[in-house]
Amino acid sequence: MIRYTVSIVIPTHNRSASLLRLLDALSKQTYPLEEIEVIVVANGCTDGTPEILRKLQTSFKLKIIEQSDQGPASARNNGAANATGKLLIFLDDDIEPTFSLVESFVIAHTDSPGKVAIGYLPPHMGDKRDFLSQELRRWWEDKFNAMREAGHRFRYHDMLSGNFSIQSDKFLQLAGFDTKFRSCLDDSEFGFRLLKSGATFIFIEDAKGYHYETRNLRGMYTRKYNEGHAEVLLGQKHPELKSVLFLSHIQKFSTLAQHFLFTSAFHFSKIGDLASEIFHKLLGVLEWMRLRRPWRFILDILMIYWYMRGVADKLGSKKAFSNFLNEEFDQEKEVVSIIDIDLAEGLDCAETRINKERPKGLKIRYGKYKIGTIDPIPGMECLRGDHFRPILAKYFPIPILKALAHEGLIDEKFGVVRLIAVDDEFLSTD
Amino acid sequence: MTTKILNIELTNIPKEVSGLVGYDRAHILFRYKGKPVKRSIVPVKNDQIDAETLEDVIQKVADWPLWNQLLSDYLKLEKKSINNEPATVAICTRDRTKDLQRCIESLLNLYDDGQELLVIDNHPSSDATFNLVKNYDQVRYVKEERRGLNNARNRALKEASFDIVAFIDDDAVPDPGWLRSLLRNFNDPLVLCTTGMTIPYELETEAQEWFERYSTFNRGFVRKTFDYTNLSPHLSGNAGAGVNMALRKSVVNLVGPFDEVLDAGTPTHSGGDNEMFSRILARGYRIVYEPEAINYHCHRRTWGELRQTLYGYGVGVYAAWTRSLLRDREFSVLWAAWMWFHLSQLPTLVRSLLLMDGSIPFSLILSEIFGCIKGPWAYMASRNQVSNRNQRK
Repeated sequence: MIRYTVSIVIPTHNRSASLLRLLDALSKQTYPLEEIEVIVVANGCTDGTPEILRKLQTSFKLKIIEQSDQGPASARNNGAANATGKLLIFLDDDIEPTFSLVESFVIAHTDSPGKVAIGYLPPHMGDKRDFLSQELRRWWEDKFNAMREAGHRFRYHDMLSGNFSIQSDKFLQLAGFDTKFRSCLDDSEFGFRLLKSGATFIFIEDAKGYHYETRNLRGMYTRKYNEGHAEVLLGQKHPELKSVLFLSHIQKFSTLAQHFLFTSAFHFSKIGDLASEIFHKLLGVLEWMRLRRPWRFILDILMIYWYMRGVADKLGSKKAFSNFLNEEFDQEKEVVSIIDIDLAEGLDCAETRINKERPKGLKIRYGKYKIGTIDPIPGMECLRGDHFRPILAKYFPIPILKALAHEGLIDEKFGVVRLIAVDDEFLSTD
Repeated sequence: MTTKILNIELTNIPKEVSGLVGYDRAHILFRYKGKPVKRSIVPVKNDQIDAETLEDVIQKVADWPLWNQLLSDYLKLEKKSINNEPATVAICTRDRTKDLQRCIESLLNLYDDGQELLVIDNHPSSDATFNLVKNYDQVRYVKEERRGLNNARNRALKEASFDIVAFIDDDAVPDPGWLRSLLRNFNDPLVLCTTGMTIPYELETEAQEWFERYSTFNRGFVRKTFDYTNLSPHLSGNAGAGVNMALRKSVVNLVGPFDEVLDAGTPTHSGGDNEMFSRILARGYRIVYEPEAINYHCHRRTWGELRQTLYGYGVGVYAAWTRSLLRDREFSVLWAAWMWFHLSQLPTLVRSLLLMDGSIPFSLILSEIFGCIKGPWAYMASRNQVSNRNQRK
């Protein structure tokens, strides 16, 4: 393995205990400690974090930078600006890395230089058994399950700033994180610019750090409020992303309750907040009775409400909201590349072409039979050859089977007549 | 009525199946390159299934599971496992050496992935099991003195050398690929348990036929992942059964051990496996049903045993529900009990009272319902027994 200096950037805000746990785990890394430089950026700390750190003896080089509270994005940029290593690893202060984390990142960058490596952050729940912890754990693990799957196409929000690594020149080239995103989605926004610049993401399962998830229900409301706020910013900065943001789908809500939520977030937030408080109490009762289904239903309403509150506070009025959605934007002169694929020429041939042209979308047919199209999705990486077969299996099983049947490639006795007659929307049931 | 159990490989279809002397029907498991794709009951005429009938049946069984295999063939896609560590196979048994011998013999035919074979002899009345197992060098013998299937299961989890423990009943027999298929589904860290497809080993008596019709272990031919978003923890029977399951050993720390108050060897008769499944789901973890993990179960042969089994299931389900309600405050148990009664048990009862076509014998459904009524009391009695036993120690 090639040895070189690696800089680990850790923004922190009043969490000295968990920061010490993190530093302790870094001192046990399998990667040579003399090649590790740790930069802790104390972002508006009032709990004496810098003093504690200055007294600390570490077996690696430790830099401490203090700044007033300007949010984690600014702290990360600040740390990166002071880094000397050619590889940057970003870790949040509530992460406990496994001992091979640094080494795994270094190996990943040796094997696939220039890529952005996303580490695995399994949530650490301790003894917590409440419904919310279970929801969060499922959400996190499913995010990584998706990345683990063969042929996963990375999206801008797969970028997680809690545990990732990137070469420093690449980071500086893109000018790092946008500090306007103070509370959240700074990583998604950076992920979008990375993908747009042609960067490739990879998921590194072995670069594993346990994430001490401590959020409670009230913390979730705040988080959703901040997300609403940040998604507006995201849409304003990158209008081409608007169509995939959650807020673009809100107008399609149909039920009365949803309209009420929507309207109250904009016009009667006092009433909405009161209703939210009542629902919050109700969640407690439902959880006590272990009635998960109604609990999840109510939680969903609350999440949407607080998200909308964030959107409403950022935009001000319903009119501004509809302007935001309907605003024309100058589609950049980027040619959206869609290529035609004919499966009759063989799967290997198709994969080679996709690898060469890296299209955003596909039109797929088999000889004269139409299979389907993959539309370009904003904020999603360009297609690679190894995306292709899993996509076919996931989205077009029936059209492909029917084409194969028409071509006589499926044995007559295996129900070919019925296969040809099934609906393309036929779903896999027993 | 007797039914012959057959396997037919669709890449190598016989012209006809003959020599079925004494059978009225055949239960055929169709496979494509070894993977199960459908099963079908086919009438036997003149001791054989003729070519024409067979062709007809195959046209009918060709459906999504088979087509899906053909698609994977075309795309050359194979589900890969991250986990290559071997596993432990545990058989929990008590005084059934004849069944056990058949089970061990066939476990020796599993694909060799370095698995460990473990027999847990539960509170035996003689040395017979010990004497049988000592003939097999590859099999480790452990005696568990505390009576009860769930005590034996907990012991297996404790004794196992590997992180994943697959369980098979002593009256079942695995397919050679059984273990490998079960293990393939542990990539997702939330998956604590996988279950497989269990089909009948033989259907030689009427009691066995009725068991298969009324209380089949078969959960279909499509792989499914269950968690609390798509399966109520109280209906965890839909996810599989203890006859064919594998668990991560960490389940003991994450959701707790099998409850010694439940299952065979206690007044509750059964329910220990499903109660474990329901706790896995209720704590936010997952169970994967894997149809390719096939084993064959030898159903009880006589009417008396069948009635006793169904009675035991009724007791077990209600005992496990009582536990969930009392210990875990799971109020939705009441809803599950109501749904089971008015969607399934009541209609079955009415149909069999009216002697409608295809209805099950009245005595069977009645046994099950008596079992349900007994369940909560059996749970309380068993709990007292266990706490008395633990106090005496």
